[in-house]
Amino acid sequence: MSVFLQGLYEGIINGSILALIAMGIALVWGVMNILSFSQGEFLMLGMFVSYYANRLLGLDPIVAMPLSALVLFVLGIIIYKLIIARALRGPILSQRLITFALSMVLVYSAQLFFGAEYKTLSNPVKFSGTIDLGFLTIAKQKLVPFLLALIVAGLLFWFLRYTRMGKAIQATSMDRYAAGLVGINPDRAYTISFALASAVAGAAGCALTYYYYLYPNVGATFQLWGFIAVAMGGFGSITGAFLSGLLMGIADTLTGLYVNTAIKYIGVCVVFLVTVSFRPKGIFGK
Amino acid sequence: MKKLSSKRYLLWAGILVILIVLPLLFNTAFSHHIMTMMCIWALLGMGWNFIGGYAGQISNGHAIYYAFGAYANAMLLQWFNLSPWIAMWVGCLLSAGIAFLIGKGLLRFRGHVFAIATMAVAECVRLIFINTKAVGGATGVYIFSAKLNPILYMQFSSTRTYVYLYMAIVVCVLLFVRWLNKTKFCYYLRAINGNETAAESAGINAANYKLLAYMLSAVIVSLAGSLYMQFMLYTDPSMILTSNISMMIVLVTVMGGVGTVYGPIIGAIVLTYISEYTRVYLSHYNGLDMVIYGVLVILIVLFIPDGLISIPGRIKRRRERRHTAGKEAPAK
Repeated sequence: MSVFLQGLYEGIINGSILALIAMGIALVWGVMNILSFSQGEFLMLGMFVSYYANRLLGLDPIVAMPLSALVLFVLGIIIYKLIIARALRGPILSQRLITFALSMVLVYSAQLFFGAEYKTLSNPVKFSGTIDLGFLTIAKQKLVPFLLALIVAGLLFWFLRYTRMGKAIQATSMDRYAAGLVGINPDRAYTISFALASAVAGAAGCALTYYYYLYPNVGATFQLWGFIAVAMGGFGSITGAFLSGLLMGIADTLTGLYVNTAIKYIGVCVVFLVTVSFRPKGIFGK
Repeated sequence: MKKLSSKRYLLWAGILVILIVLPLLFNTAFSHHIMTMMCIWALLGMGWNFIGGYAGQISNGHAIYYAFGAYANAMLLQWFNLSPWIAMWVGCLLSAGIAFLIGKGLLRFRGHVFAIATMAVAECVRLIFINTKAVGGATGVYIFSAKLNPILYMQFSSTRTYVYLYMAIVVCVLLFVRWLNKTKFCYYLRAINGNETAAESAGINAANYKLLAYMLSAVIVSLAGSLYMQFMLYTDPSMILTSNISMMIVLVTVMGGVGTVYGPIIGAIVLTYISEYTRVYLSHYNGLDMVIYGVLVILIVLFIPDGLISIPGRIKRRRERRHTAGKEAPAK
């Protein structure tokens, strides 16, 4: 029982990172209908921001988080303005390929500037230690991704539901031209949502550095699982992406625990394929 | 079929001469390597084009069939001492069977979900290959042996032989695609791409035709995999079964021109040229080659979204526009 609970807990933590990535992908997918292959690379860049903030300034990742989110927000705006805005005029297939090529550029730029070797935080992290509940051991730093996922999900939900900009983004995602007619600037709504998605990934990257090593290609795996979470959660649904991200983390860890670590990803894929076969629009899709 | 006019006849003869002369003119192992890789990528692009270009179902997992083709050659040689000349057709059959099963399951998904599902399946296949000792696991398979008869076992000592053989195969597949392009089959696929519901209401069995296109594309991609194996004589899952390979297959086609006969070939030539040359000249700067490659890809896809094959048409249209504008100008 204790092993099961521990597995469940670890699964939720892993799932939180997936949920954060997936929310960003769902936002971009829902608003501008692009399958963004560069989301995992924003996570990687967030990890590097956290790593260098720790190494050069001695900051704890949790302190570096706003910085990382800000850096990636600005980077998201630049990338949108330079590339994505232009790509949106082309066919869907070339939009997807452009984000793929962009992810390649980001990965290898990171390799060029930061090196390809595996890194972990060099300065000691203050926010650490464990809480022993008897039946469950909680590593404090592993709580960060989970809490962050909750906070970010809440914030995103609030932003899209209750702020003017958020409502504008939702209107644009429903109908770009109609939104333009009622005075919303669709281009601005797109910019903000792309930048927000990358900022979320940046914050997730910070949380991940607590217990994960970083290297330029770290985003690739998270990327694929993020896609699966979004497809499973339902077309562009942020809540769906969040929940199915958590679910996938749990499925992944529990199959690893009880069946075989080698095939745990296959377990996740099977869960995904079965789900989509029965509900092609995802669990939470309308 | 209409008769070839003498001008077109000359054009084809000229291309044939160029194909024969090129490997002699650039007679180094490196240029032969590039030409061989161009042939392989052209096959990959032409294969993917059936499901992704004509039928419009964007598969992001075609590396599976590439790997099945390659591994079929390697394993049949290791287990049964079977010649690659036969093994590559066995690989094609195997790929067609696998494509039938996967296509049955996945082809009902549309848009992004189909792409993600194919990616997920490809990832599963990669993990299975890595964890199966019988096919070499993560270390891969190596099939070179000096004892084998080079002609019977397709392990030529001269790289030029590979170039000529693979060029011949590409030309054969190209002729096949050209023929197929004008048949009902491809028109049905285009109709499905345009509007699946409308195509079905016109009496086309969309599910069957999509499945057929998927299997056909798997067969051609598998053939490319077999040829790759014979040229490299070594492979492992991280070489041919990554999502990057799957995406590059899409990229070759899109860069050349989706849904066109010659597009994938043009895409393969340009893309291979860029990737091989950046790799040779820039790879000592730890990753710079891939950065340049990525930037070039972004620029090409961004500014020529219809593929390189659309450039002559574009120039012509622009010239016509300028021409008409010039005529109207004096009237002002």
